[in-house]
Amino acid sequence: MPGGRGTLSRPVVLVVDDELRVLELFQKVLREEGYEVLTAEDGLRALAVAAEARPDLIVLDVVMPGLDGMATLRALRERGIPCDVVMVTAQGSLKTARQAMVLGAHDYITKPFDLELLKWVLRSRLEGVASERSAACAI
Amino acid sequence: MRHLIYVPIVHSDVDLGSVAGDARRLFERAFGRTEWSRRRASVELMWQGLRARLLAQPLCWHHTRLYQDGLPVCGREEEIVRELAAEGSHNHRLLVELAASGAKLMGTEDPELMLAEYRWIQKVQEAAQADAGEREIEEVSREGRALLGKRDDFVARRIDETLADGETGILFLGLLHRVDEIVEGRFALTQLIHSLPLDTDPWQRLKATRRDH
Repeated sequence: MPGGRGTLSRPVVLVVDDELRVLELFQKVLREEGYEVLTAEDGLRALAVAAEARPDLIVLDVVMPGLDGMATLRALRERGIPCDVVMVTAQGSLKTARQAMVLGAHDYITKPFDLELLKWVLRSRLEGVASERSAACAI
Repeated sequence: MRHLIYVPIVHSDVDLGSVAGDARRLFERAFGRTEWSRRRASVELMWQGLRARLLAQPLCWHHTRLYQDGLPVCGREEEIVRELAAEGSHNHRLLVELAASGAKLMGTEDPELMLAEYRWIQKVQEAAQADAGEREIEEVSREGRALLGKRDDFVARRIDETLADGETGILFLGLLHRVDEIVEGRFALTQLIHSLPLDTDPWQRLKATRRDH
């Protein structure tokens, strides 16, 4: 498993969702999985936290007031913040999925999701990050 | 009223039939074996989720038609689907299962365009092996997009001509197709998405990698 991009030794996951209950659920489940979990309730806060903490992975809700998930994803890419992004949405839309793909999201999950799927996706993504880092270190 | 359930999918290697081996080698060469294994596992998980969600739909299967990406209108539809299911395709196993429940399997694509698609994939493989330049990649990509557009027009027309009032169609179609945009307004359209591993297009990623360097 990779270390976070900040000073933390565990993988760092930033969860962005405007629903407090969802944030709490993610926090509980992901901490049990051994991740360091940061949270943000909207896109603007997410950009600030991501720039500061450089998380390994961002779980990003698509529908949020203000700066929504797609706008946040675009801003992350424009600012060159390097991290894997998993989009989460209650309204699975093909158009949104295609936009997310063009903007460089890595996965797109629809609610209600089962927690096992979520854990698997995060584990799988973070293992990918770890491999890329090992390869980079070997060069 | 006609109801169309649009199921965007990402193909597994088995779904690709005779070009599966080459596609895997091309992907592994560009992104490594670990990435291929991860992609494969993601796609399998997507199919498990789609199956669970589809089987939970309150549908009368005897009034349901199944339309499938890459399945030509040829009179051998069932045989083709059974062959691919036997080879391990989650997509085609699901079709067999739904057909056994009473759904009708429909030839969906123009056989001529399928042949053109096969030739185009060969061209992609040749370009990849020859380490093609940016211009050549762009040309092959453009050709692919044009072909995809023609296939989409045919698929939309095919569903329009065969799905009767009071029936439900389930369309399994790759993420990059645009049939949803063509048929908008003709059917009551719903989209069924479980998860979509998005970073699976080797050409997009190959181009991105080259841009980064």
